[in-house]
Amino acid sequence: MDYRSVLTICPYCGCGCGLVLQILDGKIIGTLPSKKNPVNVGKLCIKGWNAHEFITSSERITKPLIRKNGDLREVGWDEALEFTSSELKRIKQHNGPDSLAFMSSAKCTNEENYLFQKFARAVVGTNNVDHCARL
Amino acid sequence: MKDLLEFFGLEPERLRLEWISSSEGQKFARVINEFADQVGELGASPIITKRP
Amino acid sequence: MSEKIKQYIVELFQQGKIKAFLGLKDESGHIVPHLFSNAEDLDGLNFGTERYPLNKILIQLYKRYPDVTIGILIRGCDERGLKELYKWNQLQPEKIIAVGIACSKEQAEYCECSKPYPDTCISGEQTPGVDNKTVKKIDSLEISERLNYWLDNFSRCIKCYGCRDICPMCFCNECSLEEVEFIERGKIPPENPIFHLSRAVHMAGRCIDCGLCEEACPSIIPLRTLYKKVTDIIEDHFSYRPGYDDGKSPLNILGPRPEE
Repeated sequence: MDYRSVLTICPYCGCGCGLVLQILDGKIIGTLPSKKNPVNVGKLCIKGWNAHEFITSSERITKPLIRKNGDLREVGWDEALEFTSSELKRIKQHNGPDSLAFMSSAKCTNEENYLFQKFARAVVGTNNVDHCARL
Repeated sequence: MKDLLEFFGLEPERLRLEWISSSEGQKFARVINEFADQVGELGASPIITKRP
Repeated sequence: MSEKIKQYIVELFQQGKIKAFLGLKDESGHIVPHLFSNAEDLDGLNFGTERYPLNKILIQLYKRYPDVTIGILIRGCDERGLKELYKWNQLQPEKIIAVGIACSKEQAEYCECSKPYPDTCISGEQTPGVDNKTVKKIDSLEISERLNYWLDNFSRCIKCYGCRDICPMCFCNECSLEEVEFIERGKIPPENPIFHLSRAVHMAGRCIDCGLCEEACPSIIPLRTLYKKVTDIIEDHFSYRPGYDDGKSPLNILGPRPEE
């Protein structure tokens, strides 16, 4: 029986509220606000209170999927990457780079998001990039 | 609950609790009419008029 | 004061009376809840003014480990919470050893606490209960002033559910405040005043006046005052105070079977 708290910062918006993750036997069971953090002083918004839920959500994608005949089918990484790159190339050539939009996630690391927007801007050539914290 | 409504700022007369069985039709009509008159006299709910 | 308590807890461990101790720990200047699993661990134990709903964490531990006896750090309000949670069958008194600390005079006045020390008080000077001034202040206003006061306050609500999520007495598996037919989705502020009045009614006979709700509200809504009033109403009508030895809450009692 092991219960401990882990201090971290909320991954969602730019406020950076302090969270206290509650860990029971190695699994996250809940979130509490950090009382001494000067940003949020013991308060959280609804996203912060539920920041831990996406980690073990059953809705997380665990394998690459491609929609075939209207249904999402599991595929291997090679097929997924080949399909993505060829489609992006085709659409960019046919309709121009601004016909593509890149939606990232605030739950990704800063490094992943940097790479993502670099890909969108420098490789594909569009400014259409955003992520869930702004939506 | 009347006490809570009063603390909140609504007249407690706006709430009424009655036990009426489905076979007491006359009592039901009388209570509803009485209550409608009572609330009518209090006027429209101030929440509706005050809400932005 | 802290040395006395640490020693008391060390002895509880040594006598095998507890398997673990639920308290607060200082982690690089931040106070967080922590389960200490042996006497050597206790160095980080802290008793600052920051409070967390330890009872709520205890319920989670009890659900997973119903046979383990755990020690818990409590203040006056936490003890009221424990007593009430026993009545609602959320915790078993035989599995809990409470280690109490009394609140300082400043803390008691900040909380307007009716009893700022637990019965099982190991350390700290017991200061007397403080009178309830904020409720009296609202009572003294005109009825329309009261309405404006509350509607204004509730209009700042961002529906974060912080008051409910942090409340040690909230343990319902299905919360009525999440019922779509009752509280419309996607509306901020949530149904004014139904959302907060409903919560107030649900707190009747249940709120132990710990004040964590008001501390967790990002909109600084005077929730504690509202729930203190509800507690007063229950005391007036039923002579019942949650967390004291007044028997079960009148809302916790199922009456006798009606005659066939």
